[in-house]
Amino acid sequence: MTVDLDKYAKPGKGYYIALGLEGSANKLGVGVIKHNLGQLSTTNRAEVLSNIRDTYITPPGEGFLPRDTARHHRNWVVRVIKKALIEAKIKGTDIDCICFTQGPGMGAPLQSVVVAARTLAQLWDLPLVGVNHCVGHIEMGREITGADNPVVLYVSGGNTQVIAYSKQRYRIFGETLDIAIGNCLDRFARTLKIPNEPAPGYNIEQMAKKGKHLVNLPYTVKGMDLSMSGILAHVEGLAKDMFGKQNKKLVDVESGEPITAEDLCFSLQEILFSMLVEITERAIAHVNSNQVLIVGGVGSNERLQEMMKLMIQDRKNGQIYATDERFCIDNGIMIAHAGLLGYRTGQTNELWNTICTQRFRTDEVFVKWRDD
Amino acid sequence: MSYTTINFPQFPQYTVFVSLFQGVEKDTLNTVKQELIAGNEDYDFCFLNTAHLISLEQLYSSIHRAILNFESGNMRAKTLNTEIIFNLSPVNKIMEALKSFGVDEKTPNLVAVKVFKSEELDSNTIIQVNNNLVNLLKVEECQNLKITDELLYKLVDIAKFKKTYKLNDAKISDIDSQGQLTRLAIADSLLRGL
Amino acid sequence: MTDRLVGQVSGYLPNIPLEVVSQGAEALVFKTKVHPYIEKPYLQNNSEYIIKFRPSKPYRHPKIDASITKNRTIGEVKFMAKLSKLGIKAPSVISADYKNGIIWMECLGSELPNGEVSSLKNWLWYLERNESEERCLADDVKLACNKVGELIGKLHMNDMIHGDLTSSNILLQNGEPMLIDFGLSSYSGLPEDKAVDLYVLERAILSTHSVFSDKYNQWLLEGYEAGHKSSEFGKKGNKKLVETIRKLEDVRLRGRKRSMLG
Repeated sequence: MTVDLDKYAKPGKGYYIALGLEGSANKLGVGVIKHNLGQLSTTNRAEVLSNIRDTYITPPGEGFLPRDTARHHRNWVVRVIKKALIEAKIKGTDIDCICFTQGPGMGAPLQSVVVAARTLAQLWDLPLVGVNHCVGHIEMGREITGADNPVVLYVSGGNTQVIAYSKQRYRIFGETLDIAIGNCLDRFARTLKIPNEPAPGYNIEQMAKKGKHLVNLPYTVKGMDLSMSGILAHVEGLAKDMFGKQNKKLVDVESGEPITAEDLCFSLQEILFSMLVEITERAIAHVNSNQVLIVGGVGSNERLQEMMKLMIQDRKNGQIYATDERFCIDNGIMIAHAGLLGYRTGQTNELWNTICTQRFRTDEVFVKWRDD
Repeated sequence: MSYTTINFPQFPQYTVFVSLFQGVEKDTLNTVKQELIAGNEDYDFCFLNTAHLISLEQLYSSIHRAILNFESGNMRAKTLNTEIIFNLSPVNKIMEALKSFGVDEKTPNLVAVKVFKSEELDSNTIIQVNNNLVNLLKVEECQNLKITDELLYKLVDIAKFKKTYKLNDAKISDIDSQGQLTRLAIADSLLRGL
Repeated sequence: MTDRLVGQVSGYLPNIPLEVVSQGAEALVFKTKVHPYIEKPYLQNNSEYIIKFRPSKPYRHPKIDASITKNRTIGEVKFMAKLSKLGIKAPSVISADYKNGIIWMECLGSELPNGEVSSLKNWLWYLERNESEERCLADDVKLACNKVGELIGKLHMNDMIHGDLTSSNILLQNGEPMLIDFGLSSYSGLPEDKAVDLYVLERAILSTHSVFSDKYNQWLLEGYEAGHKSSEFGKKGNKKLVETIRKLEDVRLRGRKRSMLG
């Protein structure tokens, strides 16, 4: 049995259009998605009409602060929405619902974007749909890749979770016990004063490609969970020894060659990604699945994708699914897509119920549009 | 006259000869010790005193592991004979292992072990090997007994055994204590030095 | 499972017939009727043995891989040895090859009516799929959960941390639980580490047995408490219990409260 997705269709209209607004971290994203009536399938795909993003970038060595990020979003939200509507060639009246990120994320940026969503909803007299950011990633990943019931590794600046679907919820099997993977990489980028343009994680990835010596770092998997703060402290300590006042020279034990910043990036990635792949494999084994979907900003890292592929090849009929940076990195289209799925199963948020929350667990969402 | 030969499924290319002697004279034990040190080829066996042998399983476990290490080039001792002794020991020092498990003038009972290439061995050669041992150890044929768990359990010195394997605080129930001690000893020697 | 892995293990174990039992995340589990060195070992079950193999992981850097394989294999053997020294039932070690990640051990547990091994997970899943709700919450389920909790309590009282508590790492044999799979085990007296151990189990139950997880988790904790209150540990037990449970509440909260800021 499948869920009826057309109970709330407007009479006489053969499709739905949703606008999605995302601003839970330093990316402001607006997207327009179109679903035709009927079940989504390989022959009835969701259609991306537009997907615009603007990223708030800080100088090297600095992270993005909530207040400044919120200001960035406020300054740009109107322009980005306009651009998205023009590119999608639609008017406000063509839209069925306005979807927005309700959490989790940074409070101030979330607030600034939801204000825009509320304004539009009242302007055009449209219903609002609040979306869980993580569920947005998962649903968009499933739609783009065609993975039907994968174990999801969700890796971004604020989240590190291994998720699998069971009984109408996306359940968290494993997650970080302290900091998120993206946060860990960003903070190390700051320590090394690596530019934040286009993204700190991207720059670490490029440096890691040049590294070849593995520095010993702790490996901290706890069941299906993992911990990263100790590793970060360790590698930051090494970096400070090497590039700080002490100017200590570290050498590779085997080759006698000096350890470089590139080697540190390489080692950090190798150890963190090994842990991520391991807990993903644990979850796969635990739920007897053979599909992996990687979502979230860190998911666009090629080394992580490569490692995941090597892991899944050793499993029976193993399949890996990953999306490119358009959908991996925070975007508005995923909010539009997941929100529209909610809308088609009857979810709308009254104005009083559009308050954002920094804490919004993935498994709090009742996944009404699936019943497998 | 009684000896045993064993084959391990993983290593059909080897046949292990095991023979037990009871009541060996002190002087003879001393001679054996000296000849071993001198490297006399007639004494090219792994000699074990029975004070620390609780069961066949414990003994075979160490022989098996010695062959495994020999095959994979991971031996710590110089010879396979010493490697067998070393693998019985929970202590990561070869000298100490030889002291506890090797020939000991205080224990008149000896087990001799030797690993042969299976192809080099036929029943006549084995009988010859065993006869030579009977002569070397200056024992009567009736002192050469079939090695069994019952016999080993009679000959083991439980107090010494427990001390060597540091098992005085282990929780051991009265039922199947030979089995429990076997398990603990095997685990302890597997974890030697780790 | 791929031929590469089977090839790898057969290379290390020539002439040993292997039957695949399961492919876990980090290890392959095989059954064999062959004991490596004796026909009648001192084991409960001397007709079948388990071979656990940690294959090298091609995705890991070779150095990381070698060190993880070796350390976990050693760690597992150590933990099993320590348990048997304490008289806590767990599979006995038969033989180990640390470098190649192989442990040969006793085969415990029994078979469920559907042919699967009697892990807590399989049993609960079997009940959930074939039986009524009342059956899933019957007295013997409660008793089993209590006993599992008690067992973990005993472990923690000895400052032993399992590190990977899930319902599939608990075997039931004649209603008595046993722990297996000690690759992530460690030793610690800190309430924090014990609390994380419990939290990992709580979450595993929640995600694997979602329908009745509240009851199961409650029964597990009841057993855990009873384990600490056993006369064997005296007053110390209660003190440690209070510390760990308080920490558990912290750890739970940390999970829910974690914001995007990291």
